Amino acid sequence: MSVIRAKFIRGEEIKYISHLDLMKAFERAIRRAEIPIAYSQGFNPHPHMVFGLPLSVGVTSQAEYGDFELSQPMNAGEFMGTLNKELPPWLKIIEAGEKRSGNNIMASIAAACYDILLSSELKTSRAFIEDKITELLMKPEITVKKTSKRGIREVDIRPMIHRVSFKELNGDNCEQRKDGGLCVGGEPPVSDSGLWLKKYIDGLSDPKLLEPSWPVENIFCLSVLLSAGSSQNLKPEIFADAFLELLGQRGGLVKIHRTELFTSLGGNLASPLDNGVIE
Amino acid sequence: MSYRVNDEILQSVEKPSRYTGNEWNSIRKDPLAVKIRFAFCFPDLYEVGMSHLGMKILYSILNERRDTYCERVFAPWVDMESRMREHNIPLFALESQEPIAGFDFVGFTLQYEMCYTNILNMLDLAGIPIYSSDRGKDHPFVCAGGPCAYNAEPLADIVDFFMMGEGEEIINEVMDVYSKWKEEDATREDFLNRIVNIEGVYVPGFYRVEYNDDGTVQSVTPMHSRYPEKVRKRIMKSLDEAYFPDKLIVPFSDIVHDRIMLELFRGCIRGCRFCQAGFVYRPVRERTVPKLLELAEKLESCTGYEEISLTSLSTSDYTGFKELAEGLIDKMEHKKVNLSLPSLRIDSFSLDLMEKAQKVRKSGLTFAPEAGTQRLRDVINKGVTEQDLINSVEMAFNGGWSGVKLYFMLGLPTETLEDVEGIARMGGMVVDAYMRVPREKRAKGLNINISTSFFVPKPFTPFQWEAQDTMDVLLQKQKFLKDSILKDRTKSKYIKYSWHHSELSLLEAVFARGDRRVGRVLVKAWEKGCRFDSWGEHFDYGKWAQAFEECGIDPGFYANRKREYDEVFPWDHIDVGVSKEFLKRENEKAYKEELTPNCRTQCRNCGASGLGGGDFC
Repeated sequence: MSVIRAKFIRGEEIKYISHLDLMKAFERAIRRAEIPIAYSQGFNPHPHMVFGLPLSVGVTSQAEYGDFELSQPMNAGEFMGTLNKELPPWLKIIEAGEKRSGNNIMASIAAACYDILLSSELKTSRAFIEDKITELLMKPEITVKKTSKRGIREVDIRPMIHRVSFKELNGDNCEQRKDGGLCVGGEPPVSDSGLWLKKYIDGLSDPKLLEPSWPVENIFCLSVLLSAGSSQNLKPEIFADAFLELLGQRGGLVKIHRTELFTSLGGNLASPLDNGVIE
Repeated sequence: MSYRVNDEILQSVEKPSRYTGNEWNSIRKDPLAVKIRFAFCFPDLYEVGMSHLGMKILYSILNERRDTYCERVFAPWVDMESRMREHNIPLFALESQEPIAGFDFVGFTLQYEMCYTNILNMLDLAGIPIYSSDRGKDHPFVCAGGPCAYNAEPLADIVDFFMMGEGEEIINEVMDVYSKWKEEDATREDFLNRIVNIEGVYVPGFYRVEYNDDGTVQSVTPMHSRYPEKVRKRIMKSLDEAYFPDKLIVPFSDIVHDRIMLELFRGCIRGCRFCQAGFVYRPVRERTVPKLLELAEKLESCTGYEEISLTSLSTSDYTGFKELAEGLIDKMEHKKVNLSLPSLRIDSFSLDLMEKAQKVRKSGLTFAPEAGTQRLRDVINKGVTEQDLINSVEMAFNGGWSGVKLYFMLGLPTETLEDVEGIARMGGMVVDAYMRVPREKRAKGLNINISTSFFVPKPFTPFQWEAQDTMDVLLQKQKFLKDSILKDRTKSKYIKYSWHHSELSLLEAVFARGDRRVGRVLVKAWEKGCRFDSWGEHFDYGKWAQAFEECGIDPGFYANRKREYDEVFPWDHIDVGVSKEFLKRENEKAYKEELTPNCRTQCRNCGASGLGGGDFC
């Protein structure tokens, strides 16, 4: 049985679709591409695909993962090339390989990296934000209220925050998307999250767009590494709220962008694609 | 200054992907590189509108034109609407996200009467004056088509022009004229004058309506000898040759009909006397089996859908049905594509086919006897017997099915309580049929769903002269049916009974056969906040009742009044092919409980053959 593990992006254009819709989009693209996917048995067969960690509606990502079980072996490069022809550019596979580890991707996710754009009411300096990050990380415990089926309970999220840093957003003026004739839109910059976010922020100043309720010029970016997956999971939205509270001024969550997912390998974090130990 | 929607707004509403587009096979063009921008509006939610095949066809046709960019627009849900109004965001098109007020055309498809308030709301949200007479040179032309356009009068003051019938050709002809008109410095009226002689175009502003003292229509007269006295609908004579898109948009989110819709034919051979679709879509034109198999394969490979449904008015009447179904199952089974068979008539239901469709996947069984006794089924020309139903469900139960839906209508002409009781009796007979199947052969969990709607008399049907029962009578019948079902406890435990709003049916009856004067009620009701009337949670009959009262219009005049044969109808100047004379004959036959054979058996000269292309004319 051959299983392909693919890494893909989820661009701005489709960030509002649900996780279920995303799976359906893959299912249909696979059918269009005539990829020999394995199906479950029964009256209502469905393709054997498993995806990493569901993204919240509105969140973009340059590092999503899926496992695709095939009924006939197929070269990973061919899989990627064939499937990408049937996927829109904003839902695109950027890397693929044979799945090596035993567990499926959903069961093995351990941590996730996000770039989080926040805006503060008053202009802040890098040094100020970095002080706040230090303050946050120095705290022995950070309790937040978490609403679950059993009601509201307090959770200490500090153990699930592994790294927080200020991120400078550089990037030259990105090319504007050129639409013409019977074609679909442009491609998101996948290699560099800084470029992606810079482009996003530039877009916010479009005079035709309704002005956000927070100041665009005060946007700053945090890069975070948080626990993720089935055993411990910290949603970036909750982290963002906690940081905004610490900031001590009104602010807003502008955007979340996932930059990487990690699996766990012998207590270390590893890349889902090649199991290479990251740290 | 008005703005476009941003992420903050989208994050705050339910299902933001309704407003963001970018679906597979959706079309993006450079707005600056086209001459005509067309906003194709479906006056309901995205999930409903995206399930509509006609829209997808016309979207492709318009976008095939190099000079035209057609985009989709749906009614924003109430949460989105309130954000838009709060932040001064005008209604925008999905593809470009640009406001539609600057477009050349805003076109609505009219699939059901109860979406009319959404039309007003969408125009208003777009910043386009709702009355045709208030629009100037900088406003788009507002046009409409679809089945409800055949009686366009309630919208006569709102819509600039209507396109009657099938839109595949007429829309191109109108665009061609517009393209020339736009180059010249001419008036709006001048454009309407240029298209008024295109067959199928109806410009309501060019016709004067006069009324009798009793409130009925006296005459509808063209204001100029050049304007057609009768506007004839357009049809595609050959469906095999008709345009069909290579690519259909595949939505991301769940829509109502999320599958390939394969249209086997247009029209219906049956002629059930209550059914507007059965008359206005005549004559019957079928696609050939090879063409359909080719289309199915093409659609499957461009969409990747996991299900194909056969959509036509009475699917199993298709001449090559068996061959087609077998061909489809053959082609699609290994691709794990499911074939779903809706609206099968019980008299032509075959176990064989059922077994085949079941090989891929089982879906629910639906039968529509429409009336509870043979007498009443003869009145409505539903050529189906009790025995047909029982045979069919017995076969189905033997085949391992256990769920049956039965559709009926309450309030049909000549209906008595005996007919109503007949519905409960039929439900009981289905229970008996199930019990006759040996326990080890039948599937567990029998559930019978009886659903009734209220009869709404529609234009261009043999019942266009009929009165709708008053709400009191309809509710009495509904209660009587409920009690009748409950009488036999041993059977009623398997039967679930569901019904429609009676007030909604009353409004439908008013607008289906309304004249220009009910347009005022429509505007008034919308001003009071009515919209999404077909969505139970938003339907507020109290507001409608006030609107009628304030306009001094009695809904009963339109809904509950039986018309004389010689009454001039507000839609008499529209020609759908079927003659008023034929409809009158059919009405008379209804009262004599006489059946009319279907088109394939014998042509009864309904008049539709004059349009050409009919397969059985």
